[in-house]
Amino acid sequence: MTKEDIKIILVDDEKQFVDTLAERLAMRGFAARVAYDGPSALKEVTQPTDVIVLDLRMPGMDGFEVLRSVKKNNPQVQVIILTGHGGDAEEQTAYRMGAYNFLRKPMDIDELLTSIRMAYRDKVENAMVAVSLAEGGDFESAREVLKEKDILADRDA
Amino acid sequence: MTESRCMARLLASAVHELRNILAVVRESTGLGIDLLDMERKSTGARPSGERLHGVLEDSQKAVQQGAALSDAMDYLASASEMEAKGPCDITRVCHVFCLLYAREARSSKITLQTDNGEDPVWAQFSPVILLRALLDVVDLCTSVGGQISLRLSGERRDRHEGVVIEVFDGTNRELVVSALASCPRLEGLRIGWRAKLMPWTSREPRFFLTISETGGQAETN
Repeated sequence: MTKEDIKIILVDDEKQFVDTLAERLAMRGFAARVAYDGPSALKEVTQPTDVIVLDLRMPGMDGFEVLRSVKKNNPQVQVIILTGHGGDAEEQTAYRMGAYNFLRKPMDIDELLTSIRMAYRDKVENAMVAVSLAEGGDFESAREVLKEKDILADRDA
Repeated sequence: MTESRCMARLLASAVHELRNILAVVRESTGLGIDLLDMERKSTGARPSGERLHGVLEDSQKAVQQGAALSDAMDYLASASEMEAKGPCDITRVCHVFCLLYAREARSSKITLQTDNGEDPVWAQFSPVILLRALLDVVDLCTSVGGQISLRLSGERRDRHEGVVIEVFDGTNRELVVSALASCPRLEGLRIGWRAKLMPWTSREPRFFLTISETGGQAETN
């Protein structure tokens, strides 16, 4: 698996910021799609996606609403919050809602890349554990692993 | 809405905007550095390119300083909404105070430092009360001429949490130590609270600043 295979979406209403960030990621071999608002992000995530880098404060649908929707409908997708509104309360809420990491702007691009790589690695490892259990016929344990790691959507939620 | 809630919301909003601006500057300068690095690899270094590289790196360092300052402002916004009884992480308040007031203190030739300890020291009073007391300490140092360095750190001593204030360096050290030693109580805190300044030991130029409740009475000297 090469780094180009990680499917990333950058979501931020600051167009200049997100376009520049996408360009810098591309220079490091990571192709990222961009979305400038919540509804566009949810449309993008219907395409194969590994990691979303998500701002919190956006006009209309905010980052928490996007995070809630992604974790409900696409729980295998890892979400990294990258925000200027980095209060302790927002951080706790984001983690409680299933965010993989919480980074504050302005961040170092290497710090973001490390977080993206770790999020992707954990996603793949979780899926492999679940597949291995399922192949052994232990569907209940596989289901528990996926639920524990927020990968399996709670359909009753 | 209370006035403090109003100020906290406005400050938090401004910090959010400031971080977004810093993020744009950081990414733009970062892209410039990336492009210069690519050029350096393909065609070799040029004097103008190296100069520009240095300028962009300086800009990134300035962004980091701005980010630290915005964190301190964000803390101030949330602290102003906290209850009078806290909780307050004294270590963090010392860091925040030094960041927010460094420039102003320097105008009185007072250098503010915190130690590198990151362990929180929790206390049951509002961070704003402590910030106010620290401002009073710096004002006291200024009133006798400044020109010293202060190191602030959170400590727990004899079941009391407070700030160790060490006076070091500077031509005015003896005057400042004398002024702090003669001012055991700081005036003007929120009603129902008092700040005490005690020598850490009889020989060292260190003091221990504590905050405590007075049971509703305003404290004066």
